[in-house]
Amino acid sequence: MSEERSFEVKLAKSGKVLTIPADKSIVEILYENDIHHPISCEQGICATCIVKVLEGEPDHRDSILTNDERNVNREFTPCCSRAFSDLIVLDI
Amino acid sequence: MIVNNAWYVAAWGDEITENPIPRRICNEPVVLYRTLDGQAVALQDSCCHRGAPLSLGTVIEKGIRCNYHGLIFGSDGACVEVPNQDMIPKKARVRNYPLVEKDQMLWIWIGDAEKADEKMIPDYPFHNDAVNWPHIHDMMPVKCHYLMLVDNLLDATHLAYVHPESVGGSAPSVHMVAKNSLDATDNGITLSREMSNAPPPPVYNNCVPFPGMIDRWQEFEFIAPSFVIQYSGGVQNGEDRKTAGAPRFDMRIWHALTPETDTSCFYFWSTSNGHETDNPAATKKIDSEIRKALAEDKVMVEAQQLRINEFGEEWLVDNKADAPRVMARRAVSRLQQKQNPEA
Repeated sequence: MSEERSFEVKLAKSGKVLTIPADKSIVEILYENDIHHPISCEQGICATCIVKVLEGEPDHRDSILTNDERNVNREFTPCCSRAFSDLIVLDI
Repeated sequence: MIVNNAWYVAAWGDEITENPIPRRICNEPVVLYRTLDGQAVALQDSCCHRGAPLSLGTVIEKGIRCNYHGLIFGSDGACVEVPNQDMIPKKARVRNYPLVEKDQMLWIWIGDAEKADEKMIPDYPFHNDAVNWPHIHDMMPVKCHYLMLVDNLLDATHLAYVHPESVGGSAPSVHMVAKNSLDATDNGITLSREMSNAPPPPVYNNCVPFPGMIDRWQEFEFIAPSFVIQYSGGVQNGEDRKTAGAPRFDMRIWHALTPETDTSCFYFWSTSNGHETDNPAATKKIDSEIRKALAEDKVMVEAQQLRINEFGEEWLVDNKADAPRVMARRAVSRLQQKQNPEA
């Protein structure tokens, strides 16, 4: 895997912006901020954590979403997926 | 989740005769029988007079006769005769279910009859090809949710643990390092696995003795809600799978899981022999070997269902190998949304 990069996540419901460092996942940072988004497998398999991407370019790392689910429905697994853009807005 | 607006296998064509049988499908009691001219029929298994099961009845020329008070129903479910009474009330009818005979199976539609489109029935022409793919078929009731068997079929990592003496038979590592490819289709998934230089599992060796290591393949297509079409086999390590002659093992398995209740189902399967097509004993041998593996799965999934009844599924944690089954279940959810948009 290539070197990870840091990016920012904006939570649409609260307007909060969080920085995701290269060595942590989105949900890890959510939990550090007491935002207990539902998770289970933590590797993009179980579909528990799926949220909608409202803005930004997602870097999908899951193993289960179909192209339609990713591109049409804009579904995203924050447990393992990241962003190509510097900012990604999630429906959380 | 049970998708009502879908075709399910109600029975093998040769199971159903003029002697009616009861079968609960998608939680509904159904009676299956053939008319005296051979037409297969599925009706609600309860007489509209006093509720008695029609499966205790008798098929006669006019239809199926309830053996409580003698009412007779035609194939469309309408009452055609009430003993000692000239008037037949318009309401005197039982539900008729769309039933289609195709590829040696009887396909039933439990949901809204107007949505029943025969084109949605999956094709399995191998059942009709006794020359190239002679087969043996059967049905086994299993006390688990039908999707738990779909999960089981799409999960290869249980092979080494549940089936060491049958279809598994390799070190767990062989199954873990298999080359997998997993893709979504419009109505399900495809999954293929290739294991090179693997020891032949006992089932393969019992059917076709291999002198050494083999290259194995397993291809699965899942079609929502409940069909798994499997093609598996092996050739000697290094041989070309397309052209290699004996020793080779070629097997197709049809798996159809029909919900009976929320915690039980009917497992309709067939095994087809593609390597010794002119030898009925070889077809029989594959069947008896696969039967062992299915019995092994049945023990595990029925025990698993009991625990799920007790603790639910919410707390379970998926691992890497669950991707195919999660994708399959999501395909079933999509089908449910498509077929029941108002739900």
